[in-house]
Amino acid sequence: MTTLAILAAVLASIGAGFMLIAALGVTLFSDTFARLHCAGKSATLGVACMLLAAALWSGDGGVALRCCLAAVFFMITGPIGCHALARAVWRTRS
Amino acid sequence: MSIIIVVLQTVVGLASLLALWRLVRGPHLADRVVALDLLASLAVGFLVLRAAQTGHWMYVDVALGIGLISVVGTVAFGSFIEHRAREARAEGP
Repeated sequence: MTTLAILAAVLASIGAGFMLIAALGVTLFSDTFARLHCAGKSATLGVACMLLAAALWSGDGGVALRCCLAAVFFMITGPIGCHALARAVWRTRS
Repeated sequence: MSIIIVVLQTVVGLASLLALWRLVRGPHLADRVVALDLLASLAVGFLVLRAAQTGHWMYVDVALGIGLISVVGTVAFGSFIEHRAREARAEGP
């Protein structure tokens, strides 16, 4: 196992852990805003970590570049989607 | 290496089950949309792990497509929730 593979495994483990934390929060929290807060941040970071791990794992320049671009894309669009949903919930609260 | 990937896939699958429970249970539409967004993120993570497992790196492109569609869906659902409440308020007593 090379150093790069170990680093990728650690990154993927961190990503999976963040995803599990996000799912636990979405399941256990009692309020819509709390659930949004949990899903918006942890899941985005988990996906980005996992894509960076795949970039290290692949050992191919094109795939690594695509994975990094996908990670940047998720870091941008995840908060946008959550913000749109949170604004809708805030404006329609009873 | 493959053992690590299988363990991580199990963790992501467990997280998907939790998100699915919220999708079925959620009291409001917004809760269900949150769970759906999370499920799409979990699917992306699972596909990336699958790509690393099999060596078919085309799975990463599929994951990118799922992410694109999920973001558009979340924003559209937010707009829908807002419009529906506004129309209900206009028609209300």
